[in-house]
Amino acid sequence: MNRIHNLSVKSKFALAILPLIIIIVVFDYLQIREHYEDYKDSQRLNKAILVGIEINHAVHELQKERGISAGFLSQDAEEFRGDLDAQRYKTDSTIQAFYDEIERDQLADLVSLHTEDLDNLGTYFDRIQEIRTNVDSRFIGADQVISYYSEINEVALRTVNSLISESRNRVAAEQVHAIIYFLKAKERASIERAVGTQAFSFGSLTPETRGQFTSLIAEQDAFIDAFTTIADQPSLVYFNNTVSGQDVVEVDRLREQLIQSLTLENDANYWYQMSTTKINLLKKTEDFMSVRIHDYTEGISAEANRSLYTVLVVDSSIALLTFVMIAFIVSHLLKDVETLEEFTKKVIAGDLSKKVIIKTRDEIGHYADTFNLMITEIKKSHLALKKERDKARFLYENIYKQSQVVFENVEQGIFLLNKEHKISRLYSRAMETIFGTKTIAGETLVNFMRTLLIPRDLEALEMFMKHLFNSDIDEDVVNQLNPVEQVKIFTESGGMVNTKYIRLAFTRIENKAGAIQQIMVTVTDETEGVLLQHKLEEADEKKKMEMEQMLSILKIDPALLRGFIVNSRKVLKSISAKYEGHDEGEGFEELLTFTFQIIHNLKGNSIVIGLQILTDRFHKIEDAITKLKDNPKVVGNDFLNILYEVNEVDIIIGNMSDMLRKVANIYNKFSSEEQTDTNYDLIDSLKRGLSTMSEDTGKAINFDFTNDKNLTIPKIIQDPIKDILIQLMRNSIAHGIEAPNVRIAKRKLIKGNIAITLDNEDGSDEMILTYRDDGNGLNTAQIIEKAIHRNVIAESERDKVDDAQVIDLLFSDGFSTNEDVDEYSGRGHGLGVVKSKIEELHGTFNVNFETGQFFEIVVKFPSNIQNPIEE
Amino acid sequence: MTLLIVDDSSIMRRTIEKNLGDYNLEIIGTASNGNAALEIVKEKKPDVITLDITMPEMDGLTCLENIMEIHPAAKVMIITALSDKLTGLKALDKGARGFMYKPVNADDLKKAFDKLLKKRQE
Repeated sequence: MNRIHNLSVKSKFALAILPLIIIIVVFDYLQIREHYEDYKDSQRLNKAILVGIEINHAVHELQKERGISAGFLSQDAEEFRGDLDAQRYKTDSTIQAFYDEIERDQLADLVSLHTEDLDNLGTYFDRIQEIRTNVDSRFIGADQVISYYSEINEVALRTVNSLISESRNRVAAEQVHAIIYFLKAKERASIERAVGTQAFSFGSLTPETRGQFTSLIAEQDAFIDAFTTIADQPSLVYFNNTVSGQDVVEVDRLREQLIQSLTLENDANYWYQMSTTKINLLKKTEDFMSVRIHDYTEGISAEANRSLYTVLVVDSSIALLTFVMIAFIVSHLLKDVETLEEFTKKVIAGDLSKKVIIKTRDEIGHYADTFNLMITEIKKSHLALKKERDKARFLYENIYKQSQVVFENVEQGIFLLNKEHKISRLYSRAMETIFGTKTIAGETLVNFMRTLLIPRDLEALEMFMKHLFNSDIDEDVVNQLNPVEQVKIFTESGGMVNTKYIRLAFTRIENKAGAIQQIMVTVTDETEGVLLQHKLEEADEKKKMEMEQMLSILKIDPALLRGFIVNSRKVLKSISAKYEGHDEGEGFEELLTFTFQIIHNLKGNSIVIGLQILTDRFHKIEDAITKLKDNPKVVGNDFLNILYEVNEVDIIIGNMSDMLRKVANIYNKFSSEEQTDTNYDLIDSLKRGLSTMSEDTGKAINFDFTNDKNLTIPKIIQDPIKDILIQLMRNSIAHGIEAPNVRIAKRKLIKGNIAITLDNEDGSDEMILTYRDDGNGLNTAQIIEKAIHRNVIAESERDKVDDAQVIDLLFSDGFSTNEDVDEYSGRGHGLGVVKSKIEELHGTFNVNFETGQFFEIVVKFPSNIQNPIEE
Repeated sequence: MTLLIVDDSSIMRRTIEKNLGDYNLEIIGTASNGNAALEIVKEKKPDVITLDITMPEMDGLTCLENIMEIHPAAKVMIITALSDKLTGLKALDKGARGFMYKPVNADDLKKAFDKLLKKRQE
């Protein structure tokens, strides 16, 4: 079935008309065969009639010969002798004509069909000569002769019958049978003639011949009846017209005479003549009919032939016409289809301008209409699409491009993350600048950041991404845990490694149903901001420090501060001077001790005047020096660090000096007060120093200054005196005055007391400065223990040490009983410094104490000293 | 709705308790360590739990893991002084649904609980 579907339209049509053609051909074949059969039949009949006519001629002559032979044998032979010979010759020539006829080529097919009958007839014909010999010798009788000849004629007529009786044509068949009946009647007439001739010769019928004679007449009449029943009208008319007249009536009269046994008026010869005339008439009728049937069969043949050609011509014409019609329809149909196809190709190529034109109003025509409708619709939607395209183009130009411009220029990195955590194809140009790479799109964020983050942050980022896409967790909650909120990254550009601080912020993008579709990420380069922040912090710190310096100097009495500054700069310079004069080979021990004493002293002063900034600095330097002292292998560079620190302090002090000068200028401009020497500044700074120390240690201490004689310590020695007193106060707080709970236990006032008294011997330049605290006094046993521990005194001398020796120990340089080092004690230099300061003032001192009750030192020094340090 | 507060600092517990007073939450217990917290969770199945990360005996993450095993429907709010993001993310991983840094004030608590409980109603 599929094969048929795939055939071309032409082939399909050919296939459709094939059954029709076959039917026509079969029908034609049957028709032609029918006609051909008719034709052949009539041809054959025609030929058979020709042969039959020849046989009938022979029979006719044999009938005559039989009659003459019978006459010859029954009476005077000589009378028939001549006739007999003539007849025999005639008979032979007709038999010869028969043989000639069947020898003809045209009749070969017919002869071959009836060979047996014809051969059989031939053997009977061959007997004629033998019969004749017997007749001539009168060896046989007339009856026998009639019998012999009749037998031959019977076979001949049977042969004719078999030749012509097989006709398919009813009319022909009827007429053939009419002839046959007629021939049979004629044969009876002929025998009747022979029997009649014999009877006339004898004068009457013999009893045997009478029966034969009457039956011959009866048979004759019966055959003629049969003939008249089936013969056609012309044959009948011809028969009635021909076989009539005087001679026929005469034969009937003669016949009656014989049957009635009347006196015969006529001889045998007369009978013979009369009956021969009648038989000749019969023969004439027979010939007429033979010609007629021959003509008829010729007609049938011709008609059959004509019919054959008619059928051939008509059917061929029908077939041809059908073919031409179908070819025309098919080609027309295909032409329309081709037109459609060409048009469709045009449409495919985009040409919608034309309509397909098919004039035929068949299905293809309708299809073309539909097609045109479709083209119209396509045009419409084409137009609509065009509009949409223009709209889209407009949108592209006006919106997409604008956002492109934004994306090109926005300073933030912006991109989207899809559900696979991959970076979108579209991202802002800033991304490339921030990260210094162009391979961004399509990477997962974690992979993209892999080289920029430490593993722990990467792990966090990975987890964070997971939770970002988990709509169960609130976006703000997740964003609180953003591990890349601010990260420091290192990027490379042009061979330079840049440090950047970037911030990544994440925003969920949800659809209408609230499902998270994408995450928008913004990347901000905060490097400038962060660096600025750092700078600001630095500047803040500096400002704070300056402010502190400013504030601290503002709190301090300018004269005191100036003194401190002048003194500090002078002694700090002496450190570098000492270092410059230092010989590498000497070692650093002495230099370190020298530096330490200066710094320690300055620290004490800064504490007293309340310069916390410098106190801290000095303490740091002390720490550094202490470390170096413990290190046996000190080199120049180590000391340089100390010098550097010292220089730093010098700069700060320089700054302070500048500030102070500015402040002093202001003072000078707005104040004209006379400056006189007083103890006021000294005592005030001592008070403030004590209150600072007292706050820091948590020991509340009362300060009591007694100056009954209103003495004034000369300005020039106020600083060393202050140094001494501060050192003593530090010592009292560190070692003397007990913690409040201890004092309660000792039934002492909770608040400790430090009392300073300024006095002199009347009239003397020597001033007496008494310093006393109500602390624990000196723990001599502990001091001795320490001294033994430090190998200052031998174990064996433990018991020999007296109080004076203990005091000497205390006032030696580097001795300390305190285990911890703080701002106020523990370095073991405190009282050593006091001793050396007193010696600088050319003063003396005396120590009294009572363990558990008090400590007192009385310092005596000249009041007229010029410049103690420069000495 | 019931609430359990887990924090080793009593001040913190009181702060949370005080600041959530206006909330329609019934405080059914407070615990100063993980084990005590688990006992209460087992017994009372609180709807909401605030959980500290740094606690003696059992740290907050382990405690959270155990809570989710016993009572997976619990809405856990981490309240921690730890600024380490990874620990916080791990807590979310283990099933916590809220997160706050210490110190907390009434405003922050209110906002955080609004979010936590709104989510719950959905």
